[in-house]
Amino acid sequence: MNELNTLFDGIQCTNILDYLNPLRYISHDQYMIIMKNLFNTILQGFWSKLLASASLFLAFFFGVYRQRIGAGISLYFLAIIIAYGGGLAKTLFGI
Amino acid sequence: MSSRDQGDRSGNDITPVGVSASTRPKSFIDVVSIIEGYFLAEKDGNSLPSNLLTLKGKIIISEVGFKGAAVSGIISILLTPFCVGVLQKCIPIFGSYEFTLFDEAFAMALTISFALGYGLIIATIGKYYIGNLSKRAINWLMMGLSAACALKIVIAFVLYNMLYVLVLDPHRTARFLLKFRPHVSYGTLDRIYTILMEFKPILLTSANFVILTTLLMICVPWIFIYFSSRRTKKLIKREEMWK
Repeated sequence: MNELNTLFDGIQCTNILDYLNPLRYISHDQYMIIMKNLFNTILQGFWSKLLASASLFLAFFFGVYRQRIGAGISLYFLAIIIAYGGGLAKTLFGI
Repeated sequence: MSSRDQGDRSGNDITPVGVSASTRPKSFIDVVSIIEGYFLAEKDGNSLPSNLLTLKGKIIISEVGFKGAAVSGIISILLTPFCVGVLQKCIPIFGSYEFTLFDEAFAMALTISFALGYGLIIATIGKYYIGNLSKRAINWLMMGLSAACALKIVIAFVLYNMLYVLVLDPHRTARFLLKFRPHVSYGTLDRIYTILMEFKPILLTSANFVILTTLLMICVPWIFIYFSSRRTKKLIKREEMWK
């Protein structure tokens, strides 16, 4: 009986996880194009500059002005990732 | 005795917290609250016994300054070559090799902002730089910070020069990269070699650039401490005039 329950749970879980899989709704190629566009938008060009500047400004605001050092450091690292991540992704993965 | 005199006397009864093992400050905020305690006790002209700040207390306070500056130093050592690379148009920023003035300014800001931010946080205690004991505590904090900064300069200088002279030697680098030949194509290895050789001169510039950012980290808190302590002195004088 226990084995049957476990099997039943397993089947349900698999179905729920299937719903979360984006490849159920779109093809692999389409998904790759969307992700590529997302990376290009976030890590390159105008939006990356805006996001990185906002992160750096907020890092100073939270870290220095509000003295919430943890939030300041996290935002600072986010600014670094946005600034240099695009170049790194291009070099390593050709995105 | 008038009620006002009684009020004044009760206002001066502030017991500052000494730095002991039980109240060992772990973060900068802990040190600020200790210095704040000294400041409040000394604010109205009371003199505290100088041995309230023991040798252990001095070391613990300077340790906090040292730790903060050490973290900032590690970040600055890692980021400086990237910043110099952007300024010398070797490393892409925002995924592009077309560098605008904004890109270069942002790379510079990103590199110095951690040191600058930490300097500004330390500078917030400048308003307590008044009494004898609070001055001594801040001096010890700054001494810890300066020691870490000096160490950072030495480490950065040795590390960058070692990478330039020993690690990124053309023959050694080529020999090392060729070990990956069976798994990685020759074209990719050649590209990595070119990138590394282009990156090499950046290290020497970075070694000197670190000195500049370190000076900023030491000077900024002192400048702010000087001005904010003057402002506090003026405020205290004004308060005394109105009493």
